[in-house]
Amino acid sequence: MLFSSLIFLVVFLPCVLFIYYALLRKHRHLQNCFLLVASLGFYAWGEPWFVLVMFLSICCNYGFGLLVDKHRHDRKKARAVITLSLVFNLGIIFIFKYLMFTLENINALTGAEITVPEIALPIGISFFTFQAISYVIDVYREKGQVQRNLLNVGLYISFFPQLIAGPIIRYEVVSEQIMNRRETFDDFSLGVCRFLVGLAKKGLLANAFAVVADKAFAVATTDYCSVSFAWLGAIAYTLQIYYDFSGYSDMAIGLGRMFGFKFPENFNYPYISKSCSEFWRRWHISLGSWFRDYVYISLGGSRVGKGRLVFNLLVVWFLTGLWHGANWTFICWGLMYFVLISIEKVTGWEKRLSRIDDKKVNAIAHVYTMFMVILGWVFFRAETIGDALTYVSIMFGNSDVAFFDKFFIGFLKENAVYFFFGLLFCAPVARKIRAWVEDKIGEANPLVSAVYTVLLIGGLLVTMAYLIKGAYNPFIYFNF
Amino acid sequence: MTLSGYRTFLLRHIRGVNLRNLFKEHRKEKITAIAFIIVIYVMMIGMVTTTEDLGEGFLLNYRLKVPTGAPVIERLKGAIESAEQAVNEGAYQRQNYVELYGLAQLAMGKHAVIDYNYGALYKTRDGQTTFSVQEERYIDDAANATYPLVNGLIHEGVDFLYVQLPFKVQPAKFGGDRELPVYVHDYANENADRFVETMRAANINCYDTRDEFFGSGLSMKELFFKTDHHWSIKGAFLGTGLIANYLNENYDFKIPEGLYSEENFVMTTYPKSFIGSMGRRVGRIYGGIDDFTLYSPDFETDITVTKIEGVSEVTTRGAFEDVVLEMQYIDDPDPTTNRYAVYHGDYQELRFVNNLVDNDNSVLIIKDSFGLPVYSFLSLGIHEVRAIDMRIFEKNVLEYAAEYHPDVVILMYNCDSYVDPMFDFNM
Repeated sequence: MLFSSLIFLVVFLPCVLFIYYALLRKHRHLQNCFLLVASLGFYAWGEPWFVLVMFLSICCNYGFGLLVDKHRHDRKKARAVITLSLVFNLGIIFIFKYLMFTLENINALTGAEITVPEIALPIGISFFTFQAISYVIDVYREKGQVQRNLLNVGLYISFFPQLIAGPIIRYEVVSEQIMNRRETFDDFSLGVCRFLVGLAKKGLLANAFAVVADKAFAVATTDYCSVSFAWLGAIAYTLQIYYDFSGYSDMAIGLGRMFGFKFPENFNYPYISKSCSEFWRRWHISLGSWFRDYVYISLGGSRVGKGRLVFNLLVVWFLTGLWHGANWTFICWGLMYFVLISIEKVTGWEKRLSRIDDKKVNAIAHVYTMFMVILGWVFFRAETIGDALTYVSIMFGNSDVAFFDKFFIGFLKENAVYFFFGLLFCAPVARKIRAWVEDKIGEANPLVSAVYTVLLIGGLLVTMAYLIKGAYNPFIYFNF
Repeated sequence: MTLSGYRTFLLRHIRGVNLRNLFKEHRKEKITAIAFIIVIYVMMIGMVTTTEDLGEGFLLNYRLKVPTGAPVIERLKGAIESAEQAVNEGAYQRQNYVELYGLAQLAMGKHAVIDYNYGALYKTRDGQTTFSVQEERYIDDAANATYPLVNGLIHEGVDFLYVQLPFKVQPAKFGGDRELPVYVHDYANENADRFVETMRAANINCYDTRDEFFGSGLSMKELFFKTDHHWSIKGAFLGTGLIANYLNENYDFKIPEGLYSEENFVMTTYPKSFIGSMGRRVGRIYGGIDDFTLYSPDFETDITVTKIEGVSEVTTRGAFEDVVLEMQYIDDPDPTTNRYAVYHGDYQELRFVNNLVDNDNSVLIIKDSFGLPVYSFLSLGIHEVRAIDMRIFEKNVLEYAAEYHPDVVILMYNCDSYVDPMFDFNM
């Protein structure tokens, strides 16, 4: 089930809210049980069989949590439990996500003819498995109380707002909130508004850019594509993935808040970054911080010699690329950031930049960052390395292509409004407009309330119109 | 409950809640949250209480998706998809949402409207809504399927004629390449060109109506509906006249000269009364609404119509207006009614016998939906007209034609009919 689907908006969510608040209001334990059941039902709706995989993950990690808590003072045993939990959790991901890729590459490299089984990928497995790993390690590190109640572990791992597409919520963040959260009308309202913003981002903006991006990538590999249309498609995908992913995160954070959970931010206007390092502090923050805290720092982090630093970065960025999907394109994409961020760190690029207060230099830094980000997204989107290289070669004008063509003119004209608002809201423009309005007119002014409500509810109605019409609503997390 | 009862109920439940304090902070967010709750609950309750056949819709979708005896997992997935589809189809105020969608597209100046379930719809430069044929059809299969039918008919002494009907996008020489958004290439006319060329290369008689049709001087707004993929009744009337002339000139038919002139017909226009197939998908705000002009003969008629559906055979005799026209499609006030079907459609077999016309000509028309008005109008000038549609006709066409033995078998398709099962003649 998707948040941006009619059945979620008009069946699932109203029913869950009603039961949670009207029927189970005074029973926290029952509320948690209900949310767990609802979450498992939410997952089973899209993955009837794979809900069993999630159930197995919940049970095993519950056990690992208890064991690591019991043996925390025996370092050897505790490490053994953690190792076992890593083998189990990473083993699940490996089998469902990477086994086919591994066998195919072994066959390609060695000429072997190992039978490659057809294994379907459970949606969201990368997200909930990383959360499960986080649970065990955070319990060991005493960053969260072990859960003696299996249902609470289940709720943490499978809670439907962040189940399919994150953010990856660390256990230390929610451990207290599982039993001791407090739902308020303020939080509920802020959650609703956040959800509506995310829904509009996904339903109105991201899906529109998807049409352009899909066409550009299709014609680039099968037909004829001009330089300008290749760039338009790459920019469209850049916007699509941002609004889709950040929109989904907004919806997840908003939904969590509706039930009293406060999740950390996952995106912070990444396209205003002036370095790739900064980009990754603003993009998919939960993943970046997960790798930083559980892999990078465990390897020694930055407090090592340059050689070891580069090695640590290589491991992290290789894994980051690999996490996104079992394809060499994702690995290439991750390694691209390894190269760029290593150069930035070794040369001290960011520190030097922060000392220069020059608009031109900042603009150049921004253009460089976005240039690399857009190129990276081409690899991320392409089916194969070959397709990615073909696409990039078109972007840089190989000998056979024209600069303009009817696709560029037509798609730009058709989607001008989307591109305008899409590019505009990549920067914190809405926030600045809101702050200016509240400053000039006053937040308490009824006109401000009216315009705000009309915009968000209007966005909701239009998005529902798009959903009812069966407008294009791609799901891009199938690799995760 | 009385008004004072409601007041007591509310006060009991919000006792201790100071409304002024409640809305002191985050007022706009709270108002928005209340509005959101109202919307989703109205949608849910409205869907459950007003959609009469929500459950039936689910079961119908389920039976179409899931074969009997399917494994459990497939049945479960089928049930889930069917439930989602039923909720979508049963959405409260669905048509108003379609209109809102159209309004959003109009506000953004969109000429392409993507309907995930149907494909893209385009607004032409004349403001008409159409779909586009996005790919070259493999017309060889259609041609190869036609040859045995033609050869068989020759063997039986029955003439064959392929009539190429137009499509809502004009051929390039009439400016069709500039009708759609610049990045859209429509293949309908190219597919038709190749098919006609293939037929002619095989010495099969073909009449391509497109040149005369689009060269008639009538505008696209006159020739085609704005909101439907079909030609207008005026367009179909023009097409019928062209076909009648061709039959007279090339097959020695005796259709009365000048029969298909508007002087001989009564045109009754029902203004702003028809939202066709395209319009239903994009809404009235975006797509507009058509006038519907009904053509009926202004002379005496006496026609016997036989409608055959499986073993059921219903025969009626009377004037054209009484037996050929199915007026319920006109009388229904709902503009989304398929008014085009007034000229008879969706029967496995239709037989028209004109009891007054002064000839003994007979035709068998293998048609698509563009043929509906054509065979109805042709029945005014030809003694016997039979019409079959390969999507629902189940008999062997060659055997049927051999038994009927018309003067000519006409295969009559628009430019987007080179698909299964249009060329499956059950041979």
